[in-house]
Amino acid sequence: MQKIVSLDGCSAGETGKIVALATGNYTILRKLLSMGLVPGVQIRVIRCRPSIVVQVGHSKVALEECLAAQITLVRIDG
Amino acid sequence: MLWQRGGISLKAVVLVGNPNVGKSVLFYQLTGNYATVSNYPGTTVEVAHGQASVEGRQVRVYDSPGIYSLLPLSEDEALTKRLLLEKSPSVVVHVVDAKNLPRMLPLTLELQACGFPVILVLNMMDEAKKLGVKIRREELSSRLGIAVVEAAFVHGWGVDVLRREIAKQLNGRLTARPFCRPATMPEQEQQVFIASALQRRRAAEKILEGIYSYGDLRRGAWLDRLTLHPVLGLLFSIAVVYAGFYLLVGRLGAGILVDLFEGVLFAEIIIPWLTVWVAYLPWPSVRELLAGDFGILTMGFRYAFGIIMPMVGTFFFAFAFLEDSGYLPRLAYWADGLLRKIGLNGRAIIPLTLGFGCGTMAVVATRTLESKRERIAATFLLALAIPCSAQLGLLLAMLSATPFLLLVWCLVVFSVFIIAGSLLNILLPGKRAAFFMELPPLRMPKPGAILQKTLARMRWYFMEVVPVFIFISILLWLLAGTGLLGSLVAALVPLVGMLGLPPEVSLIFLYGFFRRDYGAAGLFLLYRSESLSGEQMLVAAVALTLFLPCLAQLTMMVRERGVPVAAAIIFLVTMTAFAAAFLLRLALALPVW
Ligand SMILES: Nc1nc2c(ncn2[C@@H]2O[C@H](COP(=O)(O)OP(=O)(O)OP(=O)(O)O)[C@@H](O)[C@H]2O)c(=O)[nH]1
Ligand SMILES: [Mg+2]
Repeated sequence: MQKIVSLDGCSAGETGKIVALATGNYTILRKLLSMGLVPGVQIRVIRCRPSIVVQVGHSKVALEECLAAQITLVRIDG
Repeated sequence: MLWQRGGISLKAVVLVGNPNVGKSVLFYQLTGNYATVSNYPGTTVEVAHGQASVEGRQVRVYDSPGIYSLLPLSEDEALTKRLLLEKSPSVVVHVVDAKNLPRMLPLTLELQACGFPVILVLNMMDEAKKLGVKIRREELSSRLGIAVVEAAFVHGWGVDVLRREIAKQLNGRLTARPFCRPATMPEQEQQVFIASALQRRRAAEKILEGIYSYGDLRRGAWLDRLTLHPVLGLLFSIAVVYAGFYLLVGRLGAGILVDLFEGVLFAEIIIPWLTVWVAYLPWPSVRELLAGDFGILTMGFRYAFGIIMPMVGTFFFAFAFLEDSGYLPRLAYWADGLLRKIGLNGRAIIPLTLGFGCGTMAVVATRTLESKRERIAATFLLALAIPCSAQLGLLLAMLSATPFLLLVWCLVVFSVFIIAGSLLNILLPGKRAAFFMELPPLRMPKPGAILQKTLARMRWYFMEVVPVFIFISILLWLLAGTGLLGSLVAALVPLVGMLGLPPEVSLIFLYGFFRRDYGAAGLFLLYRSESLSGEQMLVAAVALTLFLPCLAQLTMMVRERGVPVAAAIIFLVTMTAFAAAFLLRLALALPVW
């Protein structure tokens, strides 16, 4: 079953594919882009507190919730 | 050949790339000039340049702060962009971390689109290979239409191949004339920029199709996971601070080594010996200048080499270890919550911890902060509540004999930090920027690299400190000779008296005005002579910690923030320092103790 969620609602260990960036704020978009968080990319949630850490490719990125909230994912099971 | 004033104009080779990919390592390999290398994004905050020879030809190489795109997000990124536009480079070497090629290749495309002659360097191939990343270099090169070089600069691999490629580029086509976007863009253009950035990302994925594979994504070192674990991570931080700073700097540096250098070498050997020789000089005032109370040798050199050098040395060593391990970005992650409360974000942890090494370097590092309000707030807090290594070491040595005093000192300084930060957060206009940061892999620091960095920083520190110390000695000698010193000190005595401190301390505050570490060294000797009570020492330590930073840091504050902001900071810092010390004195006098 596919489920669409926002990154700040994910829990550690989950894997998902980014489907959309839900913001019109250019600064936020540029930050996400520079970290390689763009639609089509697969990411894994490593930590969700105090803020979110995800693995994108071989790099780990820490993000504040307000940035993570803009990322929409499709969960991938397994 | 073009001749200019000052010599031949050399062709420019600019090293660019994302933060923390190895540009500064490469800069050292090419030019032999040391540039600070650390395992966190945002190490380089100033452009450095040096000469290199490629296939018998001299070129000028520029190292630049890391960038994510040609549209800067912070001040240091803007410097790189300006460098690219101003120098019309003959070669732009784009360094990437090979294992993260899909994320970094869009910048290559952006540089190419702007018309720069680019060479792509896939650095960190050693790590990429271990993770099973596979890249078909030749195919990549032909798809991009530029030279692609594989490298692992920390091991020296790939430097020669890169040199050959640079030479080829120089002999080949003419320098391209780049065209680029202006530094700030109106809304609409931002939209266009983002759209084209997404396009470049897709183009990069297309280029990499079939020639790049990720390898093992799950492999992560256990230490990496440990430092991100909430409880274990905290324990680990405490262990790091205890071992690195308390044991190494506090005990070894400020304790054992200072005893050895100051207590034995200076007090028992050098000074008695000097006194004998100086006594032969026929001019009493020169005798006084060299070996008197404020003598260049008996005070300036003694403070610099007997007291400050052992501490600063051990501190820089411990700090280099911390920087190279890649732990600082994780600390930034943990500190983010706290820093948010005072209007900063986790990113500020890097300038703030650098401040424990040297405030002057730290003020420059505030460039990596996104907004002006954050840069001002960080500069203020650095000036107020972050003691530099020399000061910290001395205070640790004085206070650690009574752990209670040390605890109170920490609490007072920390509270001042939080209160001042919160007030600034309310007063300064604008909003805090959202936290995002790459967490680089933890790496085992290389002893050679740590030693090199420690020595480079010590050399730099002493080049700066020794002339100032000599100058202070001469100035004090002049003031003492003309009797002005007495009146200056006398003017400070009532203030010092309000803090419940003996008159001798006013002289120390006067030193502290020139350099905080110098003041701390004076206080340290006063402590040794046992002329201060515990409470007095505590009050003096708090006042001196919060008091004005040294002249070098002040100069840097003026350079980075401008005169009005720097003046406002100086005024507020002085007031806060005095008020906090006064309140502490009153609190200590309460009958509850
Ligand atoms: N394993 C490995 N580590 C490398 C290599 N090149 C650089 N490093 C490490 O990567 C880290 C960053 O190196 P720097 O040269 O400071 O990177 P930079 O690109 O100048 O970074 P900024 O100044 O922050 O933009 C350091 O810890 C280096 O030791 C490499 O080829 N292999
Ligand atoms: Mg660098």
